[in-house]
This record gives sequence, structure tokens and C-alpha cells, in this order.
Amino acid sequence: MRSGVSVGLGALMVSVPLCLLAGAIGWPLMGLFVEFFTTAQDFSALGDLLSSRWVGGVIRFTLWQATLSALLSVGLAFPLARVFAFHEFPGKRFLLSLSILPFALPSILVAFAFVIAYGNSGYVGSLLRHVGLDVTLLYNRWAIVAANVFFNLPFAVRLLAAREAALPRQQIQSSALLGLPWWLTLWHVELPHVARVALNVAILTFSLCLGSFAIAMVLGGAPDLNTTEVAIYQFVRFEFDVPAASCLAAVQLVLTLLAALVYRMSFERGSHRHQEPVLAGALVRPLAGRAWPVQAFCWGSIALYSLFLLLPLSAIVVDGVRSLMRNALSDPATRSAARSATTVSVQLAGLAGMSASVLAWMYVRGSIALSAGFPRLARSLRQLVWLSMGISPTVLAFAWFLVLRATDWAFVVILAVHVVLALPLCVRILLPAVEVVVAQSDRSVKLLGVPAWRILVQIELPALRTPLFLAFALAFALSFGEVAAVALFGSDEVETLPLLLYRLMGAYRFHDAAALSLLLALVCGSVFFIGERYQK
Amino acid sequence: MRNLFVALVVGASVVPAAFAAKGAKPVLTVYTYESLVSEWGPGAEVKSAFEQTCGCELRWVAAEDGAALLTRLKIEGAKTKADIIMGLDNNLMAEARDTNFFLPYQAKWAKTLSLPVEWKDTVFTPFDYGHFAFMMDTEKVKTPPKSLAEFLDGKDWNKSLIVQDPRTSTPGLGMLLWVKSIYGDKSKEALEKLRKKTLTVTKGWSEAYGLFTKGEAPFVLSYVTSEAYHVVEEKSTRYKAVPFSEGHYLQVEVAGILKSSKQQELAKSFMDFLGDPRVQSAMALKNWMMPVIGKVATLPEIFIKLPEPGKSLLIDSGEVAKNRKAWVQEWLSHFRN
Repeated sequence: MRSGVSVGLGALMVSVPLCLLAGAIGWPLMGLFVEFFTTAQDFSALGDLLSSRWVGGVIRFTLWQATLSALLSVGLAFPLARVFAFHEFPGKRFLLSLSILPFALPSILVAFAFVIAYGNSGYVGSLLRHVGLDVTLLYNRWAIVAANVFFNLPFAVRLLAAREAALPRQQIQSSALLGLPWWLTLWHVELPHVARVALNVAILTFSLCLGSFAIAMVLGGAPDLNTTEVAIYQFVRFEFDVPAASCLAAVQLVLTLLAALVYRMSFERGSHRHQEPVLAGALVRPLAGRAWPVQAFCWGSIALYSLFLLLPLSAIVVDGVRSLMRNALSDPATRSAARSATTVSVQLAGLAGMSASVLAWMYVRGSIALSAGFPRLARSLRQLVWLSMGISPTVLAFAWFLVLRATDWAFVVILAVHVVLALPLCVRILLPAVEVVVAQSDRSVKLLGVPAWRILVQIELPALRTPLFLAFALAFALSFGEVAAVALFGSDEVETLPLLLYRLMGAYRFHDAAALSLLLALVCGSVFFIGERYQK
Repeated sequence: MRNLFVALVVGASVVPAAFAAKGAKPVLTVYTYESLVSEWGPGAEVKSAFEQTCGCELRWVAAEDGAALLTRLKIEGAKTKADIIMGLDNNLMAEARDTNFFLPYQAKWAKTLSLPVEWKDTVFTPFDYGHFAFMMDTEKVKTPPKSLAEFLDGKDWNKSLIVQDPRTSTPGLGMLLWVKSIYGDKSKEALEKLRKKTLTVTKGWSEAYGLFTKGEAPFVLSYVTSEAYHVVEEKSTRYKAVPFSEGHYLQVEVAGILKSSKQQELAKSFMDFLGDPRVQSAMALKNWMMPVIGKVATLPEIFIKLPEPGKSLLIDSGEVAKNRKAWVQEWLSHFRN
């Protein structure tokens, strides 16, 4: 008799998130599909649309910025991840905690933060002008890429650092014994170890950048520097052209799928067996004790990274404090609106974070158990979750609107959309950690014949505290900052902080908006800091 | 003083409401856009003033903007809960009329309607209007251009304007129509020059105006009445509207009754109420648009002192509906890098 988590229980665990996902995506997309065929009279017009120079340009640019952002994020994250994984230095935990914050900020806030930091009258811009350099840093394609990297680099650093920390110690030690130079060790031991995760993160970044949109419009400077998402938004919100919007949404979905396929192909043939990881804890040493070239490189990287991360974030703080000193958020109506929006936002994001991380855990754990009986099915299931990466929130929210024909159930629909958006990220975070924990618990548990629920609840879940919190935090952040679905569904019943931000700006209240941005960043930041503290 | 007035109005509407049996009152549902009902918009004042007289409950339901309103209406169709749609503009009007969802109605005060242009439409009722204008930062602009032509042809002002995208924003579309109404067939060169003067193109008004107040550019496309906001609420004269000699493009915001409404009498009385000085002063002071009943005695002086738009430019709503896609494509072809 096999003890542990059975194939049947695995199937059950997978089926819960799978059914919810199918309901939250499948049903509305079916509605979109029906609408597509009932309203599209002229299919040649759609062909014209897709082959038009403009759409061609938009798709090219979307691909360009997403690819470049992904490569840059991962390329820069790799050396940084090594610094974080192998060295102990003051401020390390603070920097790592701060790293998720950009994820939680609505893109308009990041756009404004960039403007305050790097804009024509921003810190860097003024400094450059002061020394006689009259250059415009923003409002070009590189500004868009920089903003994308700002969003995604910290995320990539965290994932890669976690992977680096799991380097097989024996291999490192034997290569050291053999007297191999560091670059050979890097090439033969580290890179193969990290490659799969790196590509994985690159694809995640790529998919996330496909949907970036508000950033591109503020910082891009020109409408040809728009992504397909803006075209989708235009057709959905302005023209009510369902066929055209669906067509472009399909294009976006295909692009994500292609990216996922690249990932799949590059690893399918190689050995898929999970290497038994030996935590390389012993490799972590205080930075202060290292040789000076290592120290110089590490401190340099840390300084640049901190600057890149902190400059826009501090811009939010400075702008917010300055506005507060000018009596922002002083009238009672604004205050009470800010209070209730904070409550709503935290509830929504908290629920989204919990649902997404728990569902993702069930999905991952279930699929691992399932792979004992149906390895191919289990693997396909893990690929399937990529699908929801390619769905734009604008399209999903709109599709929900189409099937409901009303904005009832706003909170539930928004929650569903946010969970769908966050689920692939959570799966990505949990998968490697769960694999490790299962491998460890399997060995010890088989001998003892412990019942399945105790394995899961008493042994595995506690061991997964850190990755579960990270998954929760990312889902929380994603939901906290999301505004497309909220704007479409939530304006009456669900007023979140980002929505309130837009409302304030719509009423010329830019000082209040700046103060609210600070509040938003603080609320989100404190959730992460409390969470990280609680883990230890 | 105004606070006292608001308190009285609110008090007067809350007290009887507390005594009335709940649910006995008919509900009038009005779909409108976000900023009209936000905590700082005119929505609350209009609601409390109307509820004083109608013996009903006025329920606001907000969509993101005028264009989103129309989309929402098209999706909900006959199932819509709306009795009234408030916040479409002259550019969307023809398209809205063509849906056949709207009931023609002329408000009782229609004869006293005072707009810069003659109003012929019999379906929709205007409730405020505004002229598009460049707002300038006087700390950066010493000698403002006197006309759009001067701005476009001058050597200065490269990359100095923040403008909205006509695909996603009503003011963005307004700018395009402004150029069209001045240059007509010659708009090709004008758009090309406008591109050179533009620093960046944003999704909506909020992003553009936010960049402007953060000091990124000396000019932004907004409304003449934006100047009034800064004077009244911030006591500041730093930001001013720039009068252009060619005239300014006009935006008229309208409301209409839905045929599917079960509260048509109530809806009609709401339309009649839109001409009330209380509504009109709220539109000026909270929505920052011009009243449509001529002079409102209670408005601050600045509303009289705002730059005169001279000629009001307007392209017929049907014409806009017919050509919008082509014009936006034309705009797009010039605004590429």
C-alpha cells in the first residue's frame, strides 16, 4: 500500500481550481465568442484590420517592448540574484521586501513616479539641466522599457535569488576541489541550474508586458509606441467593436501561448527529473569579508539597484508629503472616501491574495500527486495555467459584462478576474518549493504511514510558509493595483484606492491624489513588511 | 456661507426622508460619468436639490466617461436600469440617437437655453458646455501664441504640448476636431506640425493634466474653464487658458430620457430641473463647465472674466459620427514617430 497523497486526492485537489478557472474564464469568453459571431457581419473587415499597417506596427512594438523588457529584467536580475543569494549585507531584507512594492502600484502611479524622478522638471532632469545638459529622458520607447523593468526586475530578482540559493552544494564543492576557475563553474554548474527558472521568469515578464498600457501611453510620447492592449481598450470602450476587440485579444493570447510553447520546447527534451536540491546555505557569507573586487562589484550592483528602485518610490513619498503639507486630504469628504476605499482595497486584495495562493497550492500539490498515475496529464495541466497569462484584464472584465449584461455582482466578478490574473504567478512561485517539500516529506512519510491530510496540513503547509506568503503578496499586489476591471465593474459598489485616485485627478485634485498615492504605497508596503516579519 | 447653504439643503432633504416609509418612493436611475458623481462633483448637490421637490429617490450610476456610458447602454440594451443618461456630448450624440433607445423630449426651459451656437436637437437636453483650450503655465510661457497657427508655425514650442489620444479620450477627439474645423482639407500639414509640438500623448485628461501640473510641459489641452478652477479653489493665477484667434472647439454635454424607462414623468421633471440655477451653478463650480442658462448670479467673478472664445467651432454631430474612424486613422498616421 502506498501511503501519502493518493492520485485520487490529487485529482480532486486539481479539479477545484481548474473548475473555478474554467468558470471564471471559460464562461465569459464563451459569451464573447457568441457575441463575436452574432455581430461580426464582415469578416474581411477584420482581415483588413489585422493586416493593416497600424495593427502590424502595434503588434511589432508590443513584441519589441515585451521581449526587450523580459531580456533586460532577467539579464540584470541574474547578477543581482547572485549578490542577494550568496551574501549577507545590511539592508538586504529591507531591499527584498521593498522589491514587491512596484508590483502593487497602479501603473498610473508608476508613470507619475517616473515623471517626478526622471521627467523634464524631475530630480534627475533638473540635475542634468543644472550641469548644463538639456536632455529629455522620458517620452520615448526606452522610457517604456525602463518602466517595465522597474515593475518586473524586482520580481525576477526574488525568483532567481531563490533558485540560486538552492544550488547543489556538492557540485560547487567538487568544482572547487578540481580547481576550476569561477567562470567555468558559472558556465557548467550555475547556468544550467538557473536556466529553466530564468526562461520561465522571462516568459512571465513577457506576458505581463504584453498587457502594459497606461505606462506606455504616458511615458511613450507617441501613439505608435502603444501596445495591443490600448487598441483593445479603444475597441471595447470607445467603439463598442466586439469583433475587432476579440480579434486583437486573440492575437494577444496567441503571443503568450507562443512564449509558453518556446519554454515548453526548450525543456521538454532535456531531463525533466527534478534534481534533488541541496540548499547551499553554507555558501552565504557576509559581504564585508569578501575579496575587494567581489565587494566592489556587489556594492556597486546593490547601489545601482537601490537607486533604480528607490528613486521613483521616494518620489511618491516626497510628492505625497509635500502635498500633505499643503493641506491635501484635509476635507472630511476626501478623508472618509480615502478611509472606505482603503478598507475596500484591502478586503478585495486580501481575498484575492488568499484565494489565489490557496488555489495555486491546491493546483500544484494536486498535479504532483496526479503525476504518479498520469504524468503526461499532470504536465499538461501545469502548462494550461499559462493560458490565463495571456488574457487581458480589460477583455476578461468586458466579457463578464457581456454575459451578465449588467454590473451586478461587481465585487465577485472583480475578485474572480483578479484571481485569474494572479493564479499563474502564484503557481510559478509555488511549483519549485512544493516539489522540494514533497520530495522531502515523501521519504520520511512513506515509512510511517501518516494519513494524507496530516501530511498536507501538518508537514507540508508549514514548510511552505515563505513561498505561500510570497504568492499571497504578489496576488495581493496585483489585485491592489489593478484598475481596468475595477473601473468597468466597480464604480458604484467597489471603490478601490486606485479608482479613487482617478476620481481625485478627474476633479483637478492632484494634491489630494499625490497624498493618496503615498497612502496607497504605505498600505501596500506595510502589508509586505508585516508579512515578512511574521514569517521569521 | 456656501457650506451653510449645503448643510441646509442636505438637512432639509434628510429630515423628511427619515420619516417617509422606505421603499414607497419611486427611484429615478441616472447613468452618468465618474467625475460628475464623485465626492467632489456636482452630483450630491443635484441629487439633494432634486429630491426636495420630486418625492423620489435619485440614484446615480457611474461609468468611466461619456464614451463608456454609450458602450454600457449598448450592452445593456432594453434591459438597462437607467431612466436617464446624462453626460454624452455633441460628438457622441448622433451615434446615441441612432441606437433608437432615446425618447425625444424638450425641457420646459429649452426656450431660455443659452449656448454659443444654435441648438436644434429635439432628443437631448444640454446641461453644460465648455470650450477646449490650451492651458499654459505662466512660469514657463511669457509671450503666449495668439492663434493655433502661430503656435504651429512658430519656431518655439517644440515638444511643449501634452495632448490626449482621440482613441481613448473625449478631449483628445476634441483636439482633432478642432484642427479639422480650422484647417479642413489642409489638416494634413497642421497635424504634422502638431506632432512636432507634442511632448506626449496620454490615455485620458487626468494623466495629461497631472503631467502638466507636475511641470512637465508649458501647455496642455484642456478647457477654458480650467482657469476658473485654479482661481476659485487654489487662489492661483499661475495656470491660464490661451485664447486663439481662430476660435475654440465647443463641447456641449447633454442628457436624454430612455424609451425603456418606467419613470417617464419623473424623468421629464428631472430634465426640466436641469435648467434650475442650483443645478447650473453646481455644474460651473463642481464640474467646471459653463452654465447653459446665461448668467448665473451666484457664480464667482472669474466665470465672467474667462478668455472669450471668440468664434465657437463645432462640426455637426452626424458628420463626426460618419468621419470619426477615418479622421482618427489620419491622426494616427501623423502621430507616428
